[in-house]
Amino acid sequence: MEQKILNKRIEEKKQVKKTQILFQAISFKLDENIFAMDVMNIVEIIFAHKIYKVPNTDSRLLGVLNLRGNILPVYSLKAILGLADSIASDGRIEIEESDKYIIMIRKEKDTFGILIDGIYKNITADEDNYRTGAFIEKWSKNSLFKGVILEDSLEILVVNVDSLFKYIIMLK
Amino acid sequence: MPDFSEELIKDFLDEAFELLDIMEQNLLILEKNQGDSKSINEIFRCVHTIKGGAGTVGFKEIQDLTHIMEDVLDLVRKKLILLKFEDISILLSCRDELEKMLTLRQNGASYLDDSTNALKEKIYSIKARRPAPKNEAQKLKTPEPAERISAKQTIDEAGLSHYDLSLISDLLNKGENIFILKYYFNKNYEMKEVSSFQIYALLNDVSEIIKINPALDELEKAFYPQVLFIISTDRDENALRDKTNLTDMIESIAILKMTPDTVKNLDQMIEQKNWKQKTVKEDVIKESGTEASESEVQKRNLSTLRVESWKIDELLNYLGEIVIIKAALNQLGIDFESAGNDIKSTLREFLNGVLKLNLTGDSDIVKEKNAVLLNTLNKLFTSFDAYAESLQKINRILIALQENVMNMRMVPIQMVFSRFPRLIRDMAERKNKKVNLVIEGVETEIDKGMVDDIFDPLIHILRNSIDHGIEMPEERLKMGKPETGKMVLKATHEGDSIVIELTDDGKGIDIDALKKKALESGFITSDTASKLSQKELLGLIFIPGLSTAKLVTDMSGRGVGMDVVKRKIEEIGGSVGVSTKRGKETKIIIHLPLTLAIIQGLLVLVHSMHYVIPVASVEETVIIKAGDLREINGKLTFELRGKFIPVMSLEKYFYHNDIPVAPDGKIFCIVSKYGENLVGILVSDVLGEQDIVIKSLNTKLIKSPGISAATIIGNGDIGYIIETGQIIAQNFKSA
Repeated sequence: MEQKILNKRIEEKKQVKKTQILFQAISFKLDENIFAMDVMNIVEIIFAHKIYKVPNTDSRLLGVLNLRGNILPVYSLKAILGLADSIASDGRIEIEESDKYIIMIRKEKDTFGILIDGIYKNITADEDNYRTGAFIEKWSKNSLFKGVILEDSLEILVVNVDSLFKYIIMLK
Repeated sequence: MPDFSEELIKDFLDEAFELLDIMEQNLLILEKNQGDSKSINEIFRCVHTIKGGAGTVGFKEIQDLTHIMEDVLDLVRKKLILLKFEDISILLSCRDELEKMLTLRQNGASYLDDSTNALKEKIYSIKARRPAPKNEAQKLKTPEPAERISAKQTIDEAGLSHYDLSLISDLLNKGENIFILKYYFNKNYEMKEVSSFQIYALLNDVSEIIKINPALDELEKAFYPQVLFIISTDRDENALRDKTNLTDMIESIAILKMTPDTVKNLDQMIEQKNWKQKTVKEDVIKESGTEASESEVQKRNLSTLRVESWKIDELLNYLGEIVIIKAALNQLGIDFESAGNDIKSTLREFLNGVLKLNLTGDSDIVKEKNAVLLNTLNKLFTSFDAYAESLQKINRILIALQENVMNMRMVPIQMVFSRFPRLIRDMAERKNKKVNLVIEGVETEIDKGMVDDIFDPLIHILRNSIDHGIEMPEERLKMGKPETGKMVLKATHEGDSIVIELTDDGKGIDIDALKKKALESGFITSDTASKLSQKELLGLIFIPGLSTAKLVTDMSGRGVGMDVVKRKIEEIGGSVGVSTKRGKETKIIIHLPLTLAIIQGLLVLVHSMHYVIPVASVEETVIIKAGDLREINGKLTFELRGKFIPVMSLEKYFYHNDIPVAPDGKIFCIVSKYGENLVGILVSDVLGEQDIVIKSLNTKLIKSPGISAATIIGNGDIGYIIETGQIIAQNFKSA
């Protein structure tokens, strides 16, 4: 019996080994849509609380937040992806719903946040479930994605943090 | 190459850069006073320390260069060579070369260049001037390797004592051969740890080992690249060399044969050394510098601690958070107190009411319960009081803590000034001018964050002084001035700010030429020019694109000078002024805030968001009525003491809304100075003046004209700090 269990474990290990893990991702909700992001660039995920709009800035920049004494920008990924975002305001945004989170992302020396509607789950992208290629750009109409993860019979687009950063740095 | 921890290398680089600065200062002192032994010693100490450090971290090119420098400096120190003016230039170039090497090492590269060899040649040429030493005869007796093990080194490296020497001379008397062998081991050898043991075993076969330095148990613990053996043997030098010549393990061997004479010499040197160590420390530095300087370095290391500045910033950040929480606790205390007062008064009524009730049952129990209730409430009130008291204490400690942390960020302005003497020297040399730079007030402390920001503006001003201020030597003599121009750079504390003044005794600024240039370039009309005062005309030098220099040099005169200086200084919250006496002097005065981290700010409300206007740019705050505003020529103005001043609305500027008017018709107007003019800034409400902890915004991502920093106010909200100059310029440009 024990031998059998052991053998099974070994088999499992072997199978995991066969498909190479590419990266770990966190998938999240924007309204009903699910997107994912490589965890490598994620510093932390915090509860959204108060965001302060900076005047004369692009509407996709929701504002700034106070993270332990550091004042950091927060963007609306919804607006960036062309989805409607009702939250934008020209003053103080106070978020009451407890299921809204902000993903804090670090790109080299710059840290910024994106507001999301909820966490879906952690996903491991491996050779089996991850697809990438030129079709992504055509398919998603913009170059903010680097690939797609097939999970739970969903096609989850993976945000390319480098492109996202290039995008937000161009904003007014 | 052994794998040294990053930290060790970083420490070495930090210290080395600092030592290079000290070296440069002392070289410049030496240039003026060639015989200054204190400077020579200091330079020697720097070079020696860098060499030691470079050896430890394995930066061979640095070790090599410093080694040669040390050789020459040692001779200078012993007064065997007198440094000439050119020699100091060579040493300065060496210093620059070292800086290059260090910078490259810092970036993970190593430096390879022919220029180093050229420099080395030059230093050798200084060394070659050494007169023949008096003890030449003795030198000849001990052949080539003796150069590598000098008598002095033997004492230092072998740690010989009187006892050892008496033993050696006994053995010599018995006719034994005594050798001092120094092995330089190959650091790249795989089995380097056992190198010394192999040599030990080999020597043990043919000789009796008297002494090993480092001792055997030390050698067991770590690898030493150089090990010294003292042995007595019946073999000769060549036999020893052959016996132990393991080529891949050993880089080189130096062998010194001991004679009764050398023993006597050594004995005397030990005597001298012991005596010197007893005498005043300064003397020790002069004579046997290495020993004393090392102990000095150690002492300095103990009293200061190197901390990266971001760690202090982080500390300040956390402190800011505590201050905010403290404000919340204060509010809680006030809430407690008012709630307590309410309870007290209601309780009294309640108890009175209870007394009036016609209670059946056990009235004793009721009384008892009342007493318990009263007691508990009293306890609660006492706790409130104690809480308030503790809060007071925390307040006091926090203020002290904040001051202390802020102080940590302060560094002597020397950090900025120390680079100037050299730069001035080089610039003046290039322009064939003679300049003496006098620096005063180097101990004045400025915020660490400002160090980099003020360096460029200052260097620009200094260049201007040399380029346009100080005249050529012959010209100066004609005017009856001393041949050498004088520049004074002075830093002082003045109330809440730091004042940096640069005065030169050059030809001053030609205000008429400036006016002419401004007219030609169309910056002013002849009408306004005639109205301007001398002082206002002088202010023209801060206008972009205006330069009176007849020739554009490689250093200044392209007309991008003073305006850049002004902008840079204003960016860090300072101001620049200028005064001049034609033909006599020019004085540039810079006012800087004490710290970059905290400013006094006026907290205002716009669009129910918090904004901060730095108090430095506020002249006064006035409350006006909506009816006081007049439109003249399409521009909004109001009358302040008989004068119309333009006004701008922050609500309009930031949110494109109409001017906010309170229900009672009041409008708050902050009068700010813009250049020589006053401008009114309208806000919805003024909340008061307070200390504002500045938090810079990532301006790469947040591009809001007029806002480049923010702060966190009492309740945790974010407030934006306004750059008044910028928003006023922006507002009236677009209007």
